[in-house]
Amino acid sequence: MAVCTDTPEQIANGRKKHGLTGTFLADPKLEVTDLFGLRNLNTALRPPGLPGLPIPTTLLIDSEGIVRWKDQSADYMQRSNPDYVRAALNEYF
Amino acid sequence: MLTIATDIAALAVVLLVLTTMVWFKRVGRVAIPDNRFVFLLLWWLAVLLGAASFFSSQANWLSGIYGALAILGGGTLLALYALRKQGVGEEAISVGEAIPHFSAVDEEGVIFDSLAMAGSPVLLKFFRGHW
Repeated sequence: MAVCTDTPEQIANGRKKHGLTGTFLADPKLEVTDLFGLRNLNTALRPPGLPGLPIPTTLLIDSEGIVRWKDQSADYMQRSNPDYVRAALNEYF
Repeated sequence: MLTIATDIAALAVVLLVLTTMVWFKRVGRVAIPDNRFVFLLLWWLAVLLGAASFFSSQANWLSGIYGALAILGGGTLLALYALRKQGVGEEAISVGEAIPHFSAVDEEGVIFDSLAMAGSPVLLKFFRGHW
């Protein structure tokens, strides 16, 4: 499941363009992002038309709703490596 | 027309384009190296060569265009690199904490409520949009 700043229309286009599966939720006002405290407070790179940006973050949440694993880079150029995430999935779930 | 300034400016643009192509190819594969010295060195080199050709006594309109491209392109990438650090707030969710209740719409406008996640493990990603 993913939360991103795209509008529902942009999500629909992105899903088609990139062949994405899973649940994608629109958060253009960063309301969900702020509930998780994941807004990037470095405002130097704020894009026009958006109130801010989330910090790219991957969370593994157990069936009780508790965060069991978190991957968050201090550098926006880095993303969670798929192999790294798969290893965490195998370890925690 | 084809002076040494043009050659240097063209070299700067080629350096910039090739380095940037390799960089974004690695970004797409989530494989940016931890040590980025070579990328930074080549971007700086492109900017410096661009500046050298731009201000050369043999500069002409073609070397000026190439030089300006190398300076602006390399400078933009170096600026983005300098601003790469995330500003993480103290209230950011941590391992061991319960997630907050939330709701949001999917691409069909259907409201998703986080209560629907109860009883199942979930991988949840937050990321920027395709801006």
